[in-house]
Amino acid sequence: MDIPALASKNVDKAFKLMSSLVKTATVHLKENATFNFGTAEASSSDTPLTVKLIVVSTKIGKEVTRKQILVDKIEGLDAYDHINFDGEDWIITDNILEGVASQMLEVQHG
Amino acid sequence: MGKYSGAEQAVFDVLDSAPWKAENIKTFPTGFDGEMGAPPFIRVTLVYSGPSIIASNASGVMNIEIFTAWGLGPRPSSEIADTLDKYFQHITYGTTQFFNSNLGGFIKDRDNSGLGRAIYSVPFSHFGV
Repeated sequence: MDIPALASKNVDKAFKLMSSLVKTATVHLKENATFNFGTAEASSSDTPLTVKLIVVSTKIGKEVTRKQILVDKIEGLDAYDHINFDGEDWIITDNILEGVASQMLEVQHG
Repeated sequence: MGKYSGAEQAVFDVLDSAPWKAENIKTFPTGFDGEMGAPPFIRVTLVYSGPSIIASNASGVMNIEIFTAWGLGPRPSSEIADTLDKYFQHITYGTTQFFNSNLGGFIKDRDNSGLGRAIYSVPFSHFGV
């Protein structure tokens, strides 16, 4: 039995069942980050990916808003990447829970 | 270029030079956000130490965090510090002068337990125009 495939199928099913809560977002995978000391500039490549997500919780602070979001598993995702949804850019914090076919991320804005 | 950018660029010019790049030590400035990869690597910060009598001058300490793999002992970071001395201890680049260096104790990094961290520091004075 292919457990990852089965889990992935069930995650897709869950997203379909919760369709009214699902948002479309763009993840920007930041890779090959370098710093040029001659120009004092940082650079990196940016690979955009369209994903679906569900906001599980929101915590509004004085200066920063944090959300926990559930997404399909994104290969290569790490805390240097960022995600854009609801017209805003969110930093992915170093709090990423990886499941077999999905990920729970903490994102931050503000 | 102002005194702060000038002091910073004096350091950056050394780190952008062919001889430094040939040392093959991954180098990043404070404020860089990206994968630094496997150790060893170093991170550079300038800390300014109060106003100078002459407004166009700036002085302080250049702190370089040296990150090496924890478990190998302190020798790798000492060797990197010795390499940094070749480029910074008692050397003047244009209007930026570096003085005697110091190496702080080698400890386990609090953010990443797979890394050891030592701080190499060297006072500097930058004479602006």
